[in-house]
Amino acid sequence: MLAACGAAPPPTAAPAPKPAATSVLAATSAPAPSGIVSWMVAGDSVEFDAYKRIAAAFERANPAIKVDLVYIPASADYRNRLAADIASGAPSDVVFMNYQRYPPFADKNQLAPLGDYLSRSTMLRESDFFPAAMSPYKWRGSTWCLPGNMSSAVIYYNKKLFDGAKLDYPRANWSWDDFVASARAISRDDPALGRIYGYGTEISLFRVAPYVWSAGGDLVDSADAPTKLTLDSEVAMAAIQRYIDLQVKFQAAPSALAEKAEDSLTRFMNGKLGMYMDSRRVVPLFRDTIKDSFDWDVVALPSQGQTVSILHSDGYCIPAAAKNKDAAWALIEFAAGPRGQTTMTEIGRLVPSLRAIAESPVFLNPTVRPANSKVWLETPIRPVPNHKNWPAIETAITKELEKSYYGVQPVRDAVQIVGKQVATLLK
Amino acid sequence: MVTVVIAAVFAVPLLFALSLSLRQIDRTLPTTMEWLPNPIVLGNYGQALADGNLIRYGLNSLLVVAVALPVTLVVASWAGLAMARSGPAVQRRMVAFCVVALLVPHSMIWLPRFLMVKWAGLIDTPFALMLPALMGTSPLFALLFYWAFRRQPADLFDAAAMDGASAVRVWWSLALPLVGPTAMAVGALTFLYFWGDYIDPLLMIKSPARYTLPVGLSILQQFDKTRWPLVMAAAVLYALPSIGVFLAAQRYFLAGRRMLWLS
Amino acid sequence: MDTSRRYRLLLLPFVIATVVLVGVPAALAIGLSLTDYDALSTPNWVGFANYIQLLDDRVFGIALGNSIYFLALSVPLRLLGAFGLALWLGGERRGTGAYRAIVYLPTVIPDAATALMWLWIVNPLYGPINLLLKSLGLAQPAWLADQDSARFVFVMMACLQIGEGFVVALSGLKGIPRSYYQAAQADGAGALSLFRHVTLPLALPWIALVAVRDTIFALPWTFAVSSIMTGGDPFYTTLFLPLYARIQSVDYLKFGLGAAATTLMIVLAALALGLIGLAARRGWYADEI
Repeated sequence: MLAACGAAPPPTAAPAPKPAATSVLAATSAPAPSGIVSWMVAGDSVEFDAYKRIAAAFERANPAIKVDLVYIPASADYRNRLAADIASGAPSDVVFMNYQRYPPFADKNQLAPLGDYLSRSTMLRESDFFPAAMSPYKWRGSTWCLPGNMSSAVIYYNKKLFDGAKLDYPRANWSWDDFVASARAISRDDPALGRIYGYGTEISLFRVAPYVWSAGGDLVDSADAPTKLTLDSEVAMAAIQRYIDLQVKFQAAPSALAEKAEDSLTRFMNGKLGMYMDSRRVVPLFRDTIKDSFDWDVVALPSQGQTVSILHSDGYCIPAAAKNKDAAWALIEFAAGPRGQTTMTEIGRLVPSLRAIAESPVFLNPTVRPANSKVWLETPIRPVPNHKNWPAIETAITKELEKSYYGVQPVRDAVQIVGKQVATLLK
Repeated sequence: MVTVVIAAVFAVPLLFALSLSLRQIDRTLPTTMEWLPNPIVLGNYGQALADGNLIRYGLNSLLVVAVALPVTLVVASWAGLAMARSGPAVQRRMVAFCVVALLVPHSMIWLPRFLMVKWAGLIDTPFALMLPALMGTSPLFALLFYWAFRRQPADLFDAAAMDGASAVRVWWSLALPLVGPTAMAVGALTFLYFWGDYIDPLLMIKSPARYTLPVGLSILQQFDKTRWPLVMAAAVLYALPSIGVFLAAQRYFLAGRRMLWLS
Repeated sequence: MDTSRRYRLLLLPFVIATVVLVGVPAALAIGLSLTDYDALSTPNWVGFANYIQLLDDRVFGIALGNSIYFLALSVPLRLLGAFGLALWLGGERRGTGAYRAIVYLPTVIPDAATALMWLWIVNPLYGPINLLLKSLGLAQPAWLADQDSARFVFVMMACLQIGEGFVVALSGLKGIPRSYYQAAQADGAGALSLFRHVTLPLALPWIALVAVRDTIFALPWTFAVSSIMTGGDPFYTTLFLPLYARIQSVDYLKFGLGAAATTLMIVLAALALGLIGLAARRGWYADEI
């Protein structure tokens, strides 16, 4: 029936935003939306409070609509619930999905395409968003979600530990060798704090992929229509090996045991980890827990060839079974628009996907940590490919990389095993 | 001596949790064996109650138990009585029915059951969590009542039947008082089941205001996983009612010359 | 006389609710395993394709292996624990009541609390078990961080939750008439011989009962604790079949595949039950002759 069902290579990649501003007047014919719109959100209590403020502001601006917030704190529970809700045909009207996770639902026609809404909108134009944030939500000729943010992985670093090791703070365009040297110099046994590590993070495809790209390798043979994993190229394996050496060879990162005892995120907050890799998401937490016990900032990922990072983005989506789609769109316009993104940026959570907010002091304010927020706008970002089985593929790769990272399995074996596993998932 | 060691092995996990729950929350965790923290603080309990919204979740859990418990006792004891008063062929068939039903693991049926609950419009209501009570919670409970009633002399029931008493009347005024210990034990087991149920609320309850304790506890853990003493305080608080109910009912489990399940 | 019919109405709520809440969903689940149901579109009949795909899936193989490991270790160990403790604590000495209560105690602590407590207890650097081992100068396992010891943590946890089997064992052993022992003793039997020729054969039905119960509940039990404690990590070593089925179903929307994995889990339990049946039967015959 629809193009979405065909197996032909989808025309997705070209981001080329179309000029949408021409249809401003088209929206006037429809009646104003009203009724109740349910919105499922996740995150800690600070985030939840921000969503409540957005919902309240939206209700004031649209008195005919009432927002029903459904709050599922933990993201894993959120995903389970979302799947169960969609399976049972009763999802919330507005939901979040990150760009790796919407294709399985779009593949089954469980999401309402948003392209027509966007082209008719009087409040938002596609060109308001960064193309790098927008394009991953376009797949098989439709726009499935609106990007709520455009985060990417960076290195958080503890200035006190850099000072203690008599190191210069890292700068943009630093090399992999600089990074390894810093991580090794910071690693030591401290009489009071125990072992201090130079670097740490959870191990996952998302943490390794940017370095594969940086070295000139890639994850799959084709971003649009992947048929096989290409982590088995010599370039990619060398990049992965360099990453793993931090732990296995230099012991500058926590071992499996140390990570289990106290994860890297906690270690960083407790001042026992020099550098930590993550997206913008941890900023509210860091502000709240680290306070002034040490100074910290962010810097771009070190380069193994070229500087590049990986996109982290959550989209606002409307399930196909949503009951009040017009009101849902009105809420998305508001929440993913300047008002909502400003609120979420103020609490530190977002790298805005709206150019105007991202380039404003709301985001770039150098007087609150991290001072160097502009790094998120300056670093080139790549997304992972769109594929209906991507979540399963990502997990499979992560598990094997983890084994190598903790020294249990050579990289070559890992990429071969997972290559076979992924081949069936890409079929 | 051996007995003491055995007791220690079984008691110590709970005691370790208890001990940590009394530890002051700071940036450190113990690096040498510490049987009791120094100083001992009780503040984690108050904070767990406040931060974790545990009182709210606890009341939700209690509501489920308060409805599910009596319903379970009625359904299971009715079934047990009816089985015990049936002919041998029916008895055999019913025991087999119960055993087969016991064999089906929950993980097999949660999705179809979720869909059925949804069709019934009960998602996000406490009724969704109480549903198992309609089948006496577990076929085992019906069996326990069956075994208990089967031990009672048949003439008692025959005499009542002669008097023309209705089945429900016989059940209430004659049969039930005879199996008090079994009812107590089934009641306690039912409490433990609903109080401990983790999977159903995770799936069927949407609104945070209606979460039950185990879900609240896992949320607390996800957000405070670095604050171990707080998590342990919440876990101990959550386990306490179960321990209390068990201690109150333990003589029906453990003491008596004839154990309740089989004698 | 229609007394039994009079009571039959009392059976109805139980039977109807059990059929609706267990029978119908179970039948649906088996049906689903023969389809490509993804909860989003109408299911298509695919025959045994899901089962074939499972046999092809390396991760399913690992989960199956973990499940067999867990069954093979936990069921006999729990059995040994339940009956050993019942023998030890079976007498009417003073204080045994309190000891029995302590043995039962871990069984009543809810799964979510048990999982969190153990997550702390086996923390490899700060947890009390390793600190205790350290203070005794012993080697400290990495527990959940290590692919060899992680699965064993779940066996340990299961072995402390043996209250129900313990109670059955107590009552089973108590049911053995004292005269049997006296007769055997009169024949000059020693303690070992008493155990071998009197206690064991007479307790066999109860041992079989506990073994059956544990075999049925062992794998479903792993679900809540493994999803709270490890999510199957490290490297799938604590991924048991129920969690595998849940991940396939909910995370990847392959409900047909998940249902097939669950069905195979029941087949596995049934095979284990068959083994137990064989062993028990041989035991009976061997001792009756």
